[in-house]
Amino acid sequence: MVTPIRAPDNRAAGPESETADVRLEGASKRFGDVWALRPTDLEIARGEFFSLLGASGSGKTTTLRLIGGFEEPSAGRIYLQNRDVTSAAPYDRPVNTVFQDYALFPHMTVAENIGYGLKVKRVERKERARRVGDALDLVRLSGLDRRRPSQLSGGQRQRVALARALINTPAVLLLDEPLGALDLKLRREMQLELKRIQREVGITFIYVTHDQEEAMSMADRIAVMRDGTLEQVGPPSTVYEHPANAFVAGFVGVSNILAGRVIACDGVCRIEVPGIGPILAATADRHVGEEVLIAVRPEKIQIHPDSWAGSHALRGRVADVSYAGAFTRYDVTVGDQSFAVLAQNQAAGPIAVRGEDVDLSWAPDSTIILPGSVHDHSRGLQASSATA
Amino acid sequence: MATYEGALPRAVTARRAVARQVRAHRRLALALVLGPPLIWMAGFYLGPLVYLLLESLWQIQNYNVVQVWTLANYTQIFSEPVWLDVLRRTVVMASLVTLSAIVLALPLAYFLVRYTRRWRHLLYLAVLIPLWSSYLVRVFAWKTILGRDGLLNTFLIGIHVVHQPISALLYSNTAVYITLLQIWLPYMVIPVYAAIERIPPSLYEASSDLGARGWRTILHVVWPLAFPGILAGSIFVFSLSMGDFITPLLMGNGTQFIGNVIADQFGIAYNYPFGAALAILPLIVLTVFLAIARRFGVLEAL
Ligand SMILES: Nc1ncnc2c1ncn2[C@@H]1O[C@H](COP(=O)(O)OP(=O)(O)OP(=O)(O)O)[C@@H](O)[C@H]1O
Ligand SMILES: [Mg+2]
Repeated sequence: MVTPIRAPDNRAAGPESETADVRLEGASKRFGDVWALRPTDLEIARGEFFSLLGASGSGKTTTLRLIGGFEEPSAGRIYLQNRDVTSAAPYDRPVNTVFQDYALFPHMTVAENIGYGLKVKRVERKERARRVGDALDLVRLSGLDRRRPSQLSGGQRQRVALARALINTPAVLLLDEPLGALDLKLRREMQLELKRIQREVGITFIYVTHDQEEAMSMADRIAVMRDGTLEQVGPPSTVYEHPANAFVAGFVGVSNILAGRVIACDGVCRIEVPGIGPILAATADRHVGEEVLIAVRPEKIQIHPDSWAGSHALRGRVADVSYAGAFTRYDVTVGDQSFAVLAQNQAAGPIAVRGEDVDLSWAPDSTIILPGSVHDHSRGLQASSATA
Repeated sequence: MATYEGALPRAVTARRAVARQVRAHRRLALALVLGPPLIWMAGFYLGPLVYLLLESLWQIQNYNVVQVWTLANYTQIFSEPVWLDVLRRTVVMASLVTLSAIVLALPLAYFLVRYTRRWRHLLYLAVLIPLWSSYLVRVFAWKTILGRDGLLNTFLIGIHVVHQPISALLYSNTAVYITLLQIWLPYMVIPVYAAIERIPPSLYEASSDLGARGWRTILHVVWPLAFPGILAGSIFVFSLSMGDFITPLLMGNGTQFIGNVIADQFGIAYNYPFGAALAILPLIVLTVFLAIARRFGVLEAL
């Protein structure tokens, strides 16, 4: 397939330009005494699909608006392709935005909306029509060019907004929860569609969402935000398998989080969790006596209806069983701690019932010791127990 | 559709009866709600208009109106150039006032919506407050400003721009224009402000994001979206200026506008049928104006 829209190849000279398309240097934004974004350093590479993930009010939109030029940072600098754009107006930045409410011009047709950026740049009419046609093909909207936004479905509007931004061949495309208004099925379709388009045009995408599944499945790298801070930046698998703290462990996926004390380390650490018993973790470099927080993912835990022969099983009682088709979630009480366990339904139906006594076990390398001391996490622990 | 009410449980039939009652009453309620305004419109608005049209087709005999059909009033209007001159002068004046009102109201409303926050409602109120004072008071206010010993002359003499008071300020077509513009301006600001206030702020950002500087955003986004408001305001200002005969009377140099000649026919010449025929003229102009507006499909947006 032809790819009419491509990222411009106007790399500035300099070593960093090879990699960084967007760079924040200590950028921050305050509204009154609210830090919408605390001083932040961030680099986003050319062609990367980067996702900002966080709860409502965590500063995702603010970060995007700083990059788009709709807000000026309270402090720090912002670079696009190595050019300092900290106080440049939106029309002076090689960036385009897909707005959360799409912000389509109601008095223009689909074609006029998409061609707006070219018209403003005085691209000649014929050339404009050709490129609008290409953009319509790219987002699969051919034939709807004469409609008005009010005559389109939510998914179609979203595509128009996307085409209107992409036609300007920005270096970076900013998307603020672009699929937020769509139903689940259409969302999944559009996610694939967006991935396809991003691969085809090779433009850097910065994608804001509060849906962690969406972020995980689409992005090359995720930044998890909370209260104006980037809690962790990394590839989805890293963020999921090695969360930087209890907040991330609880926000990205579900985690069982326990506080314990290291009692022995010998290739594998034994961690004594009060009221539950010793737990094995496959990380070595911990001091004996250290207080640590550990996290275990629900799908890593095996549930044994009969007593398990292996060592280090936890004996508990099933408090709740929720059948969900492909898998079943068991809530198992061990001591005073509740464990979430996800088991695939390989046999038909649940393998344990409410009130039944079961054993829980998992491999030592599924035990995640959260970096830092317990003290560092006290703030995060509160937040994550709210999400659990 | 066949119904078998006899076979239904009694509760169901009873419920249906209630539903029928409600449906009947809903119509009654609608009649009660819509009745009075409809009667008002028909009796006090359409009625006089129809009467005016009929009267314009009657004639005067021995200083009395007689209900004998004739087109003489209209042939007189179109055969004596003076009447069409008056009409043309009035249309030009009303158009000038309307265009000036657009030129003033558009930036004012845009500024209020986009660049004021805390003061916005207060400033908007300041636009509306003149409407609370009597029309005559506002006309006379301009007399004290533009008069021989008025504020403007005093000021001009004070800063030594002129040595003698300019008497041509008052009693001129310019004075009529200024007064009409000031008096009817709020009727332009109100709908234009409403239209601009309805534009979602994200459209400005989208336009800027797509490369448009401020003035191009105004041209391509604000103007088209404010246009229905501008049109509504134009209909108000144009028709109010066209019908105004007090302002030319008090501020003008005796130049007649259509409102004055109509008033004269009713109040001085007592030629009601001819006055009625003259009054039909601005109605025709306004109808043409609205028909053009309709053709452009802008009335739906009001
Ligand atoms: N213009 C503003 N004035 C004052 N406070 C603001 C403004 N914009 C954002 N904030 C505050 O900054 C914080 C971050 O807001 P932001 O819109 O970036 O959050 P978000 O992560 O996009 O949330 P959501 O998922 O709900 O869209 C919030 O506490 C918000 O109230
Ligand atoms: Mg947001």
